[in-house]
Order: sequence, then C-alpha cells, then structure tokens
Amino acid sequence: MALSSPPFPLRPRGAGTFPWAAGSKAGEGDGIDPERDDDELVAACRGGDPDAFGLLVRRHQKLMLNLAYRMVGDLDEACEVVQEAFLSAHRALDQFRGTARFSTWLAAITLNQARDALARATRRRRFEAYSLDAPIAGARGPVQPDPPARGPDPLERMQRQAVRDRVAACLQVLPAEFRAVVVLRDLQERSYEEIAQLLQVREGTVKSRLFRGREGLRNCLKRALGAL
Amino acid sequence: MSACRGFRELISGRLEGALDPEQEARLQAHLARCPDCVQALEELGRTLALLKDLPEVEPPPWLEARILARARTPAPPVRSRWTGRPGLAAAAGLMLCLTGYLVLRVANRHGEEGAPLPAVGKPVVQAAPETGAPASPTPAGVAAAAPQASPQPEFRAKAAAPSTRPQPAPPAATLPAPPPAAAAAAQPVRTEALPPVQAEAAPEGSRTRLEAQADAAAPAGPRLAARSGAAAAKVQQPLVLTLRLHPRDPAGAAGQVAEALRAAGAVPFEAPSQAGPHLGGRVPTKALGQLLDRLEALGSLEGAAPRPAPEGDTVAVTVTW
Repeated sequence: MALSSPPFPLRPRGAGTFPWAAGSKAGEGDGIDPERDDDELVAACRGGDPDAFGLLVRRHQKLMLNLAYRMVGDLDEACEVVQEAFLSAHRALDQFRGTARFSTWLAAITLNQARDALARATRRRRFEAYSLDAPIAGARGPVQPDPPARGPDPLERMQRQAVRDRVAACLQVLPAEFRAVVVLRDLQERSYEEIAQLLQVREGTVKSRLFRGREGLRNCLKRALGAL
Repeated sequence: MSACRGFRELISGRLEGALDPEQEARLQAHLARCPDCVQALEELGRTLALLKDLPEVEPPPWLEARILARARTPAPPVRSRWTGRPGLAAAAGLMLCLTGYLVLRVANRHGEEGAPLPAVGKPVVQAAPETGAPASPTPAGVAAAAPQASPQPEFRAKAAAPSTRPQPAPPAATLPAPPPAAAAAAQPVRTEALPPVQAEAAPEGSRTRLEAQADAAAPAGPRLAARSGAAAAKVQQPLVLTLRLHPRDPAGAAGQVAEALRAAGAVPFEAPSQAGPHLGGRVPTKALGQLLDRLEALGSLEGAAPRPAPEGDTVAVTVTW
C-alpha cells in the first residue's frame, strides 16, 4: 500500500469540513439541496427516486473516502472500498431502520469494507515480493508524486510533507481497532457516543482505545521524527 | 510509569477539553510533581496537532459516476464453482464420458465371454441365478457383467413378441412370460411333462401365467388327456438329448439350441431345478427330425441314436450339453 501523497487535490482540514458537523442539514454548503436531509433522501431512494441515491453519494463520498483512505493507507484501495460500501448500502437500504444517522450507518459499512480490504492486502503481501525502489503501482497505473510546489518556500513544503508521510505511516502501524477510533475521533471529530454506536462497543471502550491509539502514535512519531 | 496511567488518560481527555473541574484539579496537582507527565502532555498535544494536519483527499471525479453506474446495473448472480471454470467443467465432463465408455466396454467384453448378447431391440429375459434369488431388471450391458463366478453360463431366451424395454426376470420357479398374444400363438408348454424332479420343483400352486394361458389357448385333446388321472400312467417321458458340442462352447450353444428349438416350433425354456446347461421345449412330432438335424449340426447327439417313435402330436424334449 502506498503511503505517498495522493494524486488528488488536497484541501486543508478546517472547521465545518464535514457535513454532519454543520448540523442536521447534512447538505448545507456542499452545493446539494439543503432542504432534503439524509432521511428524506433515503426515503426517496426507497420510493424509486433515481436521483436520491446520487445525492447521497455526492454528499457522503468525501467523508467515506477519507475514512477509508486513513484506514487502508492507499487511495486506489480506498476508492474501491468506498464503491463497495456505497453499493452495499444501496442494496441494504431497506434494512436501514433509522435508529442511527445515515452517515453513521454508512461509516460502519465503510469500516467493514476497509477491514476486508486490509485482510486481503495482508494475504496478498504474504505471497508477493516487494521492492523498495520500484514505483508505487496503483490499479490505474503508478501513483504520481505531488505536483511541483508553487509556494514560495519549497523546502518548508517538502519538510512538512515528509512529516505528514511519517504521521500517516505511524497511523498505519497502529492496530486497526485503535486506528479506527483515532480516525473517527481525531480526524473526523465524531462524538464518543456516535463512535460507540458505530463500532458497537461501550463508550468506555472507545475512550480506552483512543488513549492507547494516541499513545501508540506518540511513541511511533518520537521514533520516526527523533523528537516531538 | 504505570502509576501515571490514570493521569495519562486525563491528559488525553484534557486535550479535548473534556475534563470536569475536579479532574482538572487532580491533573494539575499531579503535573506539578511529575515531569514525565508534563512531557507526555506536550508530546501528545503535538501528536494531535500533527494528526489534524493530515490533509483530506478529494474524491476523484469518476468515483461518483462509477458508484452510480454500478448501482444501476443489477448485482451479478452468484456464480457456481463450475461456471467460472469452463476448462474444469469440460475436463470433468470428459472424464465422466470416458469412465462411462470404459465401464460399458468392459461390461460388454464380459458379456461376450459369458453369453451371447441379445440382438438390439429384442427383449431379454434373464434367467435367475442358481441361488434362486430373483434377478432384478437390468439393461443388457450391465446384466452381462453380472455374476461371472457362477459355473453355469447365463441363458437368455428371447420372448416371442418383441418389446422395446427389458422385462423383469421371473422368480426362480416360474417360466418366461411372453405377452398374451404371443402365448396364444405359441405352442403349449407343460412343466408336468418334464422329469419328475422338475415337476416337483414346480408345485401345482406355482403354475405360471404362461402355463395357464397356454392351457386356455391350446385345443383340448391329448394334452388335456395327459393331465387326467387315467392317462397319468401314459405320461410321455421327455426325450432327453445330450449334445456333445463341436467345438466346445457352452455359452454360445445356448443361443443356437434355443434357435433350433424355436425353428422346430417350440418355445424354449429352462427348468430351474435342472442342473447343467440345458433347454427344454415341446416340439411338434413332425418337426422332431428337423430339430435333431439342427442339433447334430452343433455336435454329436447322444441318446438319440435310435430315433424314437413319437407318440401324440407333440413331444417334450430336453436338450443338455
């Protein structure tokens, strides 16, 4: 799995990036009809509205892609995971009972697909040789490096990118159950309650895993960067 | 350091601003005297800052289109383990065909060694084995592969009327049962005229349907008289002909003897109690010479040197070899 930067545009993380953080109207500010929340779209989708599922995909694909990307560490693999997750959700839409938010339900499906992808990658790695010098191969050709820096300080940019790569690599070193909690809490800023619902564990378990995940990350970064 | 574990969890909570005043006061008191935890607080804060600095990825433009396209097409049906591997399925089919062919070939070869196979399309009534167990209806090829250990070759008597499917073999104490029309046209068959040992083996109650039909179809006359008590003393003894085969081919001879009997107007049958290869039949007196001629063509006849003077319209003949 490639840990280098993806060939897709990156956007700095900021407040209100994720749709659920803005409130109940998940579509606010994302160019999607803000009058129709997820529940309405799900109901319309069940009723045969061909556009409703497209709106749900457009609204949640970025969130699910980032979750999958941080879980599997490879963008091509993450795209596959997201496709499978949306298709599974589409097939199982009748089983969505509305006890959790659609976003939570979809994130749980995405996490399951990501776990499957990780297991497949583990099996695959067991049987294949690898080269440290070979280009990073993706499903659609080699993964391209970052575009040339246009900022005034390329050196600082390179150093920052190197640190990010190490952070991402340390995240992948964590056990998957800790990584999931760290990603859901520290990157996606979900509440303890929602994470507990999503992972079907107690909130105390979520806090414990979060603590251990963060500690693991800290120790890994100390080794990778020399000092924090 | 394990003593600091509880405070480390408080540190983790503090970074999110999730501590209540009491927890905050406890943590502050601990930090005042534990430099390790102070360092951990700083490092963990830095770790979270680095983590949150990780950029988000933007979905590629094709992702949504691909998801929607795949959602519109129905899910592919679950493929069986054979459909995905046409080569494997073909190999398995070929093996099945080959195995079946070899089995049939071996069975046919055994059949040719044991007994002549009947003509295709002709019904086959297989004689019961010597054990007396009723034979099950089986196709000719498989039946020919049946017990070869028996010292007695298999006998097949073709029924008078053709039938497209094999008929079940009768029980050991019964005779072959051709269809009623054929039975009516056939010469009457009487087990009473056989040697005493055969007659004993077929008690009165076990007379076959064929026998009853033959009785009904045959004109009353000397045959009925033979059954009456007055004529019992004059029951015609069967003419036992022993054939010494040239060349010795007991299995092949069965068909030829049956053919000779049939040509002479008799319905060949075998008596279950008779040991050794044999066939019996009731031959019209006029055709007896013809029968003997045909039998002599198969080998030398014993017991027929003085050709018997036949009495009555028919004569019971048992041919052994």
